[in-house]
Parts: sequence; structure tokens; C-alpha cells
Amino acid sequence: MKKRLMAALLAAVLGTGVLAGCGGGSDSGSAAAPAAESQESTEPAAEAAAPADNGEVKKIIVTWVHYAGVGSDMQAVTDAVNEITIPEIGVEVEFMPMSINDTMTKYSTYIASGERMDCMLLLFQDPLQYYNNGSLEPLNDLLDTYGQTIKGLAEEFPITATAADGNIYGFAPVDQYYGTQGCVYLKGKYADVVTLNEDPDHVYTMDELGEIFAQVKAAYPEVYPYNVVGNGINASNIPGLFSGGFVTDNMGSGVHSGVLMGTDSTTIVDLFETEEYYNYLKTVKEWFDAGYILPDAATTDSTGTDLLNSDVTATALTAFNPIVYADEIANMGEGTIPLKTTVPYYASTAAGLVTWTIPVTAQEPEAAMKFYNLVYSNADLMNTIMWGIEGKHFVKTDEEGVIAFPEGVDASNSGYYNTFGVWGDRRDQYVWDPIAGKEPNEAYTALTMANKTKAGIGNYQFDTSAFTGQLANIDTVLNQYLPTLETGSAPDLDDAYNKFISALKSAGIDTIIAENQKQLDAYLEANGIQ
Amino acid sequence: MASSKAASKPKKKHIQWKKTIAIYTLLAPALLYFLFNNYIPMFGIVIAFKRINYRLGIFKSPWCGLENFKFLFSSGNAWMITRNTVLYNLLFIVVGTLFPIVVAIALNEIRNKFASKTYQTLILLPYLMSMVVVSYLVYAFLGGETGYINNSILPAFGVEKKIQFYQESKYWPFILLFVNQWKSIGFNMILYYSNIIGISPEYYEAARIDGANKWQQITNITIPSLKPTIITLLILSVGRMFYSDFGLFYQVPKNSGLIYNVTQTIDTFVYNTLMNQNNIGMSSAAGFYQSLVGFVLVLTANAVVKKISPDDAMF
Repeated sequence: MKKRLMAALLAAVLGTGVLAGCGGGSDSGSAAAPAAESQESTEPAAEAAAPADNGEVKKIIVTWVHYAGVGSDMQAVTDAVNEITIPEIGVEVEFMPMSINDTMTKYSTYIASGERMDCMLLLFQDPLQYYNNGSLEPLNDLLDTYGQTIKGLAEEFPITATAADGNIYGFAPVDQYYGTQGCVYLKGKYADVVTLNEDPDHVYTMDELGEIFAQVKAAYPEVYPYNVVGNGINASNIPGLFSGGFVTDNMGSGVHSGVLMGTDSTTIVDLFETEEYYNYLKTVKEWFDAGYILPDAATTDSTGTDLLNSDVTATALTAFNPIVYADEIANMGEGTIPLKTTVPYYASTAAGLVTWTIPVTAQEPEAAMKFYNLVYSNADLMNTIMWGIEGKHFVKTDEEGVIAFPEGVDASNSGYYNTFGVWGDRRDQYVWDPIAGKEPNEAYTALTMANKTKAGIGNYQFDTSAFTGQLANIDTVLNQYLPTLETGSAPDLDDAYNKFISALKSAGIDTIIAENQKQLDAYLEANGIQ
Repeated sequence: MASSKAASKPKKKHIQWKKTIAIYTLLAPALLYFLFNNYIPMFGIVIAFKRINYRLGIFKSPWCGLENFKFLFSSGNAWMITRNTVLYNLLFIVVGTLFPIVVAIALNEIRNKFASKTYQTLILLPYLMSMVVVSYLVYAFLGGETGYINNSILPAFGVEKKIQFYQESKYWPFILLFVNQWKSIGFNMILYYSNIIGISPEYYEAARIDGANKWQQITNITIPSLKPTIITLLILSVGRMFYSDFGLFYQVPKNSGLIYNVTQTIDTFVYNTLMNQNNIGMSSAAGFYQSLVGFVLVLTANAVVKKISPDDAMF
């Protein structure tokens, strides 16, 4: 009898354990509950909007996105940030570190399960998709009440992201520069073996690049000069030369809804169907066969940066501008050679790559907006979040706005270094290298602004809200084929390319381009652009 | 009469209840587990028919009919993933029944104790490995730059051109079958082997006296004795016919896009849809489709078994 009782007890205990475990899980698994909750929490708070300085400190959770881990001084920097925010606006900040890869897949599950985030950073993702499925709060009222600085900056710079219904759902930092220029950076150590054009602003053609790669390959047979890897290529990030190699404008939406080729064109075309793109793929295939590209490029797990750092590859494909140039010199070493592949130009990419939002799981939207506004107006706060504590993580140099590491500290042992440049008004952001200072950036912006695409004039943005499903289908096709095609790894290029194009067509790319064209034509007409 | 019947019935029930309560208590945790883990989440099926809006929540989101299923069927994906899932599973069931039995019988014939134990352990070893580890072992063979086949085996036969395994679909049905068998054969073999050991030696003795040779002993004694085990395992695998080993189909081909047409199964498809598109509507639509076809397959399999051998049917 006793034994039986024991068994029953044990079973009961186990049972409740299971219950408790599942209870917690199923609570957070339901999206209905947190949505209702957040609505409740916004309403009473909105009523009490005016007396914000009643001495009560509101705590907010801010995503802090990194790519190489969190330094040991995260807490110290958080404290330094709070020393500014608590007296100024009565907001206490808690950073929520997330790796960039996690942000790609986890935000939607976090929002679905009601995980609290007051300030959410979308990096290299389409924020409109989040707005359309109801993940983001509209910010118009909050901006009017608490975001005056941001509103002021938005009149000057294309930083706000607005949906078709007129709601602002996010904003980007003010960049140090605007515009872009295609470029392939070659490591300085190969300078001796290649013949370069004497003009530093020379625009290299595909053939000229091929010759340079051949020269590198001949001198260093174990090196694969052209650095493309499949894991770095997806629908929203096509780093291959093509996206940087020609003047293109994707009108704030991404290549999946068509592009303008060149600064004079007003005809939207499917990038992947263009002759230029096919020729590019053919060239890449030739490069692959010639050994300029890693044989495992399509499937390797190593990132392009890893391969470059370990000298397996020799180049980095990214835009040319003063900031990136300084970054690449820091990464690739002194003497890094920028091989420019286009002229500087301005396309209407605008807000989108970096978008700060307030998700529906936020509990303190007002405090979040106050914090955002302070980041944009207070350069000290912005630089603290960006670079850490003065004297500990950086020291000012004699030159205005240029900083250096304190003695004994460098990028590898600094307790706070890995932030993305995504905070506030970046024109006041300290830089490490005078190359990336305020003046070169202003000069660069002047160049690009003088050379705008037709959609770039006035910043036309394609309204994709009616097409989210189709665009997602197209992205699936891009994710499936691009890693192979763009690394030149397709054994039979024509076969793979034809399948790729017909998959794009059956996913509906033509209807989307037609709609985009219709919107663009109406826009050009309304604004008198020819 | 009536009253005595009524009086005796509750008494009977009472006794039964007393007898079974301990057993039900033991069962309770498992029942609760299934309730919370398998039955309650089934309400999530509604997601497949909704255009999810996180601000409104699941129940208030607008209905969208079969829109989420459209992508599945319009792009031909439904046919592809159904074909791949079912055909691979059929292949695995047939080959996965045949090979382990052959190996088990062969192992049983080895008289040296030490050798048979060694072989048994070696064959079982891959079963204990994680699929992620297996995927890198496969990569070590198939990779382009450092892979064993491309750099050692092919050159030895004078083939200079490298084969891009991860981009060419024609190799993958064989590779996946090979990897699946290599990994699982040890475990299945042990199931049959333990059965074979259990067969009474007297049968074989009697057979030998009657002059039966080894082959006749195998076909007339060993295989018939294994029949119940074979049928049980068959039913188990048929029930899982519309599920696939995610690790095998996702990790081993490294999710390479160009070979999706022979490597994408329903599980990897659901995963890719959810992860790439952040679209829980479409992925639950695919999940719902999986449950539906799986359900039909189980019913069919059971009906077939009932026809052939009624004792072995599940219900």
C-alpha cells in the first residue's frame, strides 16, 4: 500500500512538473495574449503622456546587435548610458545583445511569442514585411510628441520609413555620407604583382578585373583572388560584383521587384534577365573554372571575412566611400587598393537597410521614443553607445572628432568594440581614421548627389504592401539559386540559369515589375522628372 | 431483479477502478505530456488559414481561405516534396529491411566471439553520431577543394575534372541512401540479431539431421521466425512515411539550392519557408499538409496490413 502511495505521489509530482513546464511555454506560445497586453499597456500610458517628469524612471529594452560577440564591459557602458538617459529623460536602458544572424530568424518568433523588446533594430531585413504583418507600432503620434529632433532630421535626410497607409514605422540613422560606388578592395600585399591603372578614380571593367585576378593567381597559385561565398549571398544581400559593378537603383525595395539600370533610365527591368547579368554570370563561371574562386564557394561554412583574413582569398566586395575605405584598411591592412567598378552615384535605397522600430511587444513605447530622440540629439550619448567610455575604450586625439585606442588596448582586447554604426546622427560620430572624417564624407556626398538616378531624385520608393506573398516567393527562388550562380559553381550555367529565370517568372516577378513601373511613371509625372 | 443488478454493477466497477488506478496514475504523466505537447497545440492549425497579424493575434487575424496553400501547390513544390518524402521513405524501408537482416544473419554465422563483437560495435558506431558530424564526414569526401574523392580517388583513376557534388542532383539519391543506411544499419541489425539469437538451436539441429544446408536453414527457419519483428518494424516505419530525417536532408546536402529537386523533403521545406520568409502562415500550411497526407498514409497502411495479416494490424 505504501509503495502504491509513493508511486501515485511520484506520478503526481512528475505530472505537475510537466504541467508547469508546458504552462509557461504555452503562455508565451500564444500570440494573442501579448498582443492584447501591449494594447492595454499603451492606452493608459498615452493618457499620462504629459507629466513625463514625475520622477519615475521607466525601463526599456533595446536590442544591441553585434557580429562578433559581446565585450566584457557591456555593463559598464550600459551604466554610462544610463548616467545620461536617467537624468535627461527618466529612462533606464537595458541592452539586449543579439548576433546579426539571430536577428534574421528570431525577431518574428520573439514577436509571435510576446518577448518584450522596446526598441528593435532591423538590419539588412525588409522592415515593411514586419509592418505589414502587424509586428510594428506606427510611430506618427510618438514622433510628434517625443521625437522632434528625429522629425527635424527627417526633413533634411531620407531616414524615415513610411508605409502606404501613411504611417511611419521606423527610421534609419543619419548617415555620415549618402550615395554609393561599386568597388573591389584588393589586399595591399598583392600590389607588387598586379598592374593597376594610374588614375585612382579609374572604373575597372570585368575584363580588367579578370586580368588582375590572373596576375594574383599566377604569383600566388594557392590564393583564390575573387572572394564570393554562398553563405553570404541571399535575396536581401547580393554582394557579388554585379550589384556593385553597375549603376543600379532598386527603389528601396530590393532586386526582387526590378531595377533601373544606369542614371538615365526610367524603364524598370528584371535585373536577372538582363544581358549584363547573364554576361556577369558567364564571367564568374570563367573565373571559377580558372581558379579565381574557391571551389567550395557555394557550400563552404567559412565567411568571406574569415577566408580573407586567412589569405585564402584576396579581395573584399563592398561599396566605396570614405567610411568603408577606412574600415577595409583597418581590416585588410595598410596599402589596401580600392578597384572602383562604377562612378559615384545616388540611388533611392534610402531607409531600409538599417531600421529602428518599436515592435508591438514593447511595453514602454513613449520611453522608447524619448530614448531614440535623445540618441539623435545627444552626440555624447550616441558616441558612448557606439564606442564605449572615454579613457577606457577610446581616447580623443588632437584632431577634432578622431579617436584612438588607449595605450595597451586594441580591437582584440577592448571590452567594448563590436557595435554596428547604427545609432543616431552619425555625422557627429567619432572616427578612428581621418580618411573617414567629416570633410571627406561631405566631399563624397557632394559627388554622389550630383549624379542621381531618376528614382533617386526625390527618393521614389516602391510600395510593395500588396505583394508581400509574391515577393517572399521570389526571395525563396533567389535564396535557392543565387549562392550557386553568383559563385560561378553551376556545372551547367545555361541549364541552371534557365531554370532560375523560369522559377522567377512563375513566382510572379513580371507582375511586380509592371506594378512598380506604373507607380514610378505616376511618380515621375507628378514630380516633373524626365 | 433490477435492483440487484444495479447494486452489483457499481460494486464491480469499484473493484476494477481500485485495480487500475495505480496503472492510470503511472500513465498520467504520459497522458498529460500528449495532451499539452500534441493535442492542445493542434489548435494552431488555424494559422494555416489566416493572414497572421501580430498586432491582432491569432484569433483576430483575418481569414484568408486557402491562400497560404497556394504557394505550396502553384510552384509545383507540393508535388516535389511529396514525391521526395514518400519515395525516399519507401526506398529506406525496403533497403533498410533487407540489409540489416542480411548483416544480422551473416553476423550470426561468425563463430569467433571476439570478431563478432568487434564487427557488431563497428557497424553500430555511426548510429551514435550526430547528423551534423556525419554531414562534415560526407563533406570531407565530397568537397571540391580538399574532398577525398575529388583530390585522391578521381586523380588515381586519371580523372582530372572535379565533380561538383553539391551542385549536381543526379548523385544525391544514391548519396542520401548510402548515408542513411551507413548510419542506421547497425541499430536495425541489432534488432534482428537479438531475435535470431533467440531462435531455439533445436530447430537447426533437427534441420541438419534432415539434411538441410545453410541456405535452406536460413530461408525455412531464420526468416519465418523473424516475420513478426519485420512486420512490427514495417508498420512503425510506414506510420512515419511522411516524415523525414531533417538532419539527413538538411545537413548532409548543406541546403544547397541547385539540388533541392532531389533533396528537399517536407520537413526541410517547412523549415526553409519559416526561416527564409518569416511566414508562419505558409509554414503551418505545409505542416498541415504533412499531417493530412501522413494520416491518410497510416490509415492506408493499416488497412493493407489488416488484409494481409489481421493479427498484426494496429487498429
